[in-house]
Amino acid sequence: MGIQFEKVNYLYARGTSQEKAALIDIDLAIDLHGFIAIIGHTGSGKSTLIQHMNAILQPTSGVVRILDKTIVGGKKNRDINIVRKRVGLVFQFPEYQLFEETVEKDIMFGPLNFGVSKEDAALKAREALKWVGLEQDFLSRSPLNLSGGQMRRVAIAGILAMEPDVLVLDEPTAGLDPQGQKEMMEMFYNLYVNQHKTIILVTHDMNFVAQYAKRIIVLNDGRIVYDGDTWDLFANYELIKKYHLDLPDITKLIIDIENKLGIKLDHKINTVENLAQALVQALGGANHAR
Amino acid sequence: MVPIVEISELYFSYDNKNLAINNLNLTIYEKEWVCILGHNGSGKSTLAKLLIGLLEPLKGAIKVNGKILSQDTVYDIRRETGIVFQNPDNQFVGSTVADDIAFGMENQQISREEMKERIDKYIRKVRMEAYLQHEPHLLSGGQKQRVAIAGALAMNTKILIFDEATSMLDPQGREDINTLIQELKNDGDKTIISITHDINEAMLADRVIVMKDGTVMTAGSPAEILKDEALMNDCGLDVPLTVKLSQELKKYNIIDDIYVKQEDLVNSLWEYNLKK
Ligand SMILES: Nc1ncnc2c1ncn2[C@@H]1O[C@H](COP(=O)(O)OP(=O)(O)OP(=O)(O)O)[C@@H](O)[C@H]1O
Ligand SMILES: Nc1ncnc2c1ncn2[C@@H]1O[C@H](COP(=O)(O)OP(=O)(O)O)[C@@H](O)[C@H]1O
Ligand SMILES: [Mg+2]
Ligand SMILES: [Mg+2]
Repeated sequence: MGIQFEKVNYLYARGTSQEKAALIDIDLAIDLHGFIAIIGHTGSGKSTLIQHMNAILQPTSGVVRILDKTIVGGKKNRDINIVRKRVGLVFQFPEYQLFEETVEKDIMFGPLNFGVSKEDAALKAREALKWVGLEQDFLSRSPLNLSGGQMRRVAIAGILAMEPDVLVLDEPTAGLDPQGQKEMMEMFYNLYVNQHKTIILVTHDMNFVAQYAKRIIVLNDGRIVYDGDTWDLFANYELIKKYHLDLPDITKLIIDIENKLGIKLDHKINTVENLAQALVQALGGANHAR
Repeated sequence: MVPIVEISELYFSYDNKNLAINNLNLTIYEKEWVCILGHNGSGKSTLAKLLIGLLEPLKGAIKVNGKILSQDTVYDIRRETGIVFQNPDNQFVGSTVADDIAFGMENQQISREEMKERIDKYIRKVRMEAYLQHEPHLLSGGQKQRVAIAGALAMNTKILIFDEATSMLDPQGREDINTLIQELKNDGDKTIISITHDINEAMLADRVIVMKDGTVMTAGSPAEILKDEALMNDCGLDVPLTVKLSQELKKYNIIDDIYVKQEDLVNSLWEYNLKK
């Protein structure tokens, strides 16, 4: 079970002058109940990859197995609707996902589509709106007349209301204010811990990656160039440099301090409190003189 | 300091009920790089649209580059003000990236050669030269943002407004754009107004403006504004890591100040280490 890719290739605009191999020979196995980050430069294939995870895109060649459904490249694959219910995908641009006249109808669309009753769908819409930090009076608003960050929240609520087993999130914090980003990531993490959901997160924010994702996948020009432990990657400066990746802010700060002061600190320190304690120790204890 | 954008007692409502802009007063000066921060729905994008006359205020006055914004001046003002919207899809008009950038320059009254030169120059700056003949709508999210930025830069306007223009760029892309803004500031007469949720970008700006519920809460240097934890929390924002670490280290008497700039924090630690 889970999601597997076997030798998956994907071509956009096949047979035209703009043909583009967006995925090349992707082999990947994702077990259920994990928190995985996918990173890589713009255009590296992240969105293309994750759209295969609920069969919005189907491979040009190769095989994708999603839960108990097998999608074979180049074939007509039927009955993929069930996959869409169990694997919820939040698009990179929320506009692509919002089309009803009201926020309420938009959030109810998924549940209704998968056979939930009208009353239950309405309840789920109210609840989902709370989860994404919006007041109930948004229900009657038109989703297209919202601010960018509000649209993002509604798009996420629409997927949450479907209660999928796997949540695939394409840059879900882009456009959210800093507090909203933190709350949203906490919420996803809680879904992972308490409800055993699988979270697959595309992001450029290494702080969130370091904080939440144990496993990280790096894409470069359509290929997977790293798939493994997050902190092992952040300790591998050669790879970081080679693929122009970024380190978490805290790691950059630690390295700066080490270089300037000529001291050694643990590069895997991940919280401000722990860094402060490590510094106090390295600098000879708390200062009682003042 | 010469004012270039002057806004006084500005009000706006989308629905004649809720005020999206509520008594906003703000002056921005020539050659400034200001970052506007604020919670979702605080009115940042609305303000940007009012500035270029895409929306009409209920009340209040906007003066851009010495001209009061009105139906007579709006086209002049737009010629002097480049903007990159929050979602670049709303902005693309050309069927190829090259056409799209050219289109923006159409009413700048410049020669074909000059247009071509500018396209070449700015598409390189955003590292998208391989995509000139591609259709903008079919690019990846970050690629769209790069193209939209190149288009605005090519217009060579006095004022540039970025509405979350780098929100989907990879870390290197963001750094590229921040460097580019610095360059524009250093060798030109450009004023940059950048709406952002990226605290690290705000640290680089000359001035930070914090919006809440349709009005300006406060404005000041990044060092001043970004260490004010109560204010940041109240406005849906967050303080930088440097401020959080300063607060912790203060508890142990290792430093006595709250630092925003990483360099200052590290220097202070270095001094402590020498003296102890
Ligand atoms: N077209 C519209 N019709 C009605 N209301 C709107 C429209 N666009 C925005 N609003 C509302 O106006 C307020 C300000 O929106 P605005 O887009 O200016 O916010 P913002 O500060 O840019 O937010 P974000 O950080 O989410 O982009 C919000 O409450 C929003 O819901
Ligand atoms: N609909 C499309 N048609 C043609 N090319 C596309 C389309 N969507 C994406 N691409 C191209 O495929 C590559 C990968 O895109 P994408 O997966 O969106 O990248 P990422 O999400 O990593 O930024 C990019 O070079 C992009 O320009
Ligand atoms: Mg993408
Ligand atoms: Mg906005």
